[in-house]
Amino acid sequence: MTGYLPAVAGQIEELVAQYAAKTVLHEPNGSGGAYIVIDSIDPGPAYIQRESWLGFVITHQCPDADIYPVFLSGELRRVDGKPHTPPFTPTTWHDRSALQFSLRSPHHNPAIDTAAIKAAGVVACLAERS
Amino acid sequence: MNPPAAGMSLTIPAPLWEKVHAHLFPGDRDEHGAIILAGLADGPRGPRLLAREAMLAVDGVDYVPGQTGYRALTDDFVNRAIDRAEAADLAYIAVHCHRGTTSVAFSSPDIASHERCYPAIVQMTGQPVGGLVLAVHAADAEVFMPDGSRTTLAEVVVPGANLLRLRSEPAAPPVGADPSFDRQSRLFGQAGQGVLGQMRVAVVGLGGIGSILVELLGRLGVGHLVVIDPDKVAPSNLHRLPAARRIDAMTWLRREGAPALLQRLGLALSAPKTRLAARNIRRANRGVKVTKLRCDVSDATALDALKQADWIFLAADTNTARHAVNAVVHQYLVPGVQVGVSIPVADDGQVGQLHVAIRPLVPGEACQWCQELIDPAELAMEALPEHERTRARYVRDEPAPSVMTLNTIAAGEAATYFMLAAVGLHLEDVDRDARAHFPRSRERDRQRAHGRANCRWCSTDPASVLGLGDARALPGQ
Ligand SMILES: [Zn+2]
Ligand SMILES: [Zn+2]
Repeated sequence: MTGYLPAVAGQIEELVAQYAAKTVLHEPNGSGGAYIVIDSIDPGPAYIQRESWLGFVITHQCPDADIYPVFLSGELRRVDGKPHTPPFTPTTWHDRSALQFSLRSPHHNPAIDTAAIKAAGVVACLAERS
Repeated sequence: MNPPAAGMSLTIPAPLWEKVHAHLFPGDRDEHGAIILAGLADGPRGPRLLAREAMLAVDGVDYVPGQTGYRALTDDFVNRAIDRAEAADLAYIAVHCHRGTTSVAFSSPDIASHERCYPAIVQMTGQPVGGLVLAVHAADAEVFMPDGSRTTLAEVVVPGANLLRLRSEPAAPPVGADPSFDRQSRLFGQAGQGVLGQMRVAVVGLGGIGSILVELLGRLGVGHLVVIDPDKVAPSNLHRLPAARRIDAMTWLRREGAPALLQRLGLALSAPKTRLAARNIRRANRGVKVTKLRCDVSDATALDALKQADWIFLAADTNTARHAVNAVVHQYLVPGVQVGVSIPVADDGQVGQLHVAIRPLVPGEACQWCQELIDPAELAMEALPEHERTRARYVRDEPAPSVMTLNTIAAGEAATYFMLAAVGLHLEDVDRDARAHFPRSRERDRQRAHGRANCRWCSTDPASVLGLGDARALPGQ
């Protein structure tokens, strides 16, 4: 894995292992960090669609920085037909239509909290919505 | 007080120093021992040993009557320290105390024991190995290096509320005084003026507070100032940057409503804040050496400069700057002070509690992470390229209010804290806690902070970088 800081490369490996059954795309962002897209996750019961990609940046401030924000497919529509409201905001991310999910981890612990744990946390959070 | 000395030094974080000092000088005037384990870094005047942890030898158990000297560390205690030094790639420094106050030297049995033992320990650990003898206000040490050389330590530095510098004998008083500093030298003496003149001080952020700081530091007579800021002077800055001129911000090109081409030209021609700072420092004091770094503090060039500083003023209010400086403070044991002004004004114009904070950055004590002054989500956002960051912030950033009088409180108190620390004039039992001023209620608070037991910056947890110096990369590097 070239183009990544050691801490970033370690977190990508953990993501790839955690989502072995899915595709984890990763690309250097030019400053030692990585653009990540996981294809595909379950966006939970709040949306009509049953699948979405999950994208985010592991920045060069890994592991001290949070993984924030994260992005979902811009095609997601709510089952109740209402428009998206914060912390969900329609946007574009790397030329894709995207839904930004601004989920902070205020108790982020660099010794424990990795990108894989954040991704699992995002999916768990989406599963609990209704 | 002693000025900084050229040569190899040992820096001991204040909490560790207090622990070791209490163990060596319990008041019984007897001899006691300990082993300090230290990282290594390149410094402004020579290599720096960075004390990280200490093993205190228990009298009668680990520290017993010696065969050649008065007392000696037991083989078992020494072997435990060697194992730890080897496992963590740390220098091994055996410490004991002698009587005396302002001067100290090894005895001949001390030196004989160094020659007998230390080369073998160097072989085992592959790291520097040395002996340190302390009197109450003096220190002498010699270090055997992995390359086979043997060095006498120039000084021991303890960055607490006073920047203690110990030598084997007090430095000779400076000769010849600069009459232009006469009135301030009457406070801290020519020796104090000499200390300031030998110091390399970094100022991170040259906005409202940093621009006042450099003026004060130049006039104090600090020998070398490193000024760091990526930005250029903008028309909206002019009213709170000392001695800024309209031409520094190219106001007539950058006025509101000017064509975009002129705006761009105006930005290109505007003065970097580092240039304005250097101009003000030279006007204040032609003798100051100024290093201008027009880059972000997290850039490698800026980090390299911070590692080589004797003191850091943190006057930039980004999470990135706090994170970068925090890492240098604890990994390289460079002390400093953080300053900030917060002016909460609600959308409806309601003014909240104005707040001026002055926070000492003490190596080995509760760090910026432990004080929750760095937001991990904001740190992530600041690491994104500007266009991604702007898009991700769906609430538009309004410029924060900034008022020069409040900036002056912050700069004045922080520079005074530095001055008193550098010349050793803080009262002996003064605390190192942060202070907050609340100008609207005219109150002033002391803010105690506690370091987390497993903090990866300021604790002595095995996974922390405290005192590891050049053995670890700094954030993002
Ligand atoms: Zn001795
Ligand atoms: Zn800490």
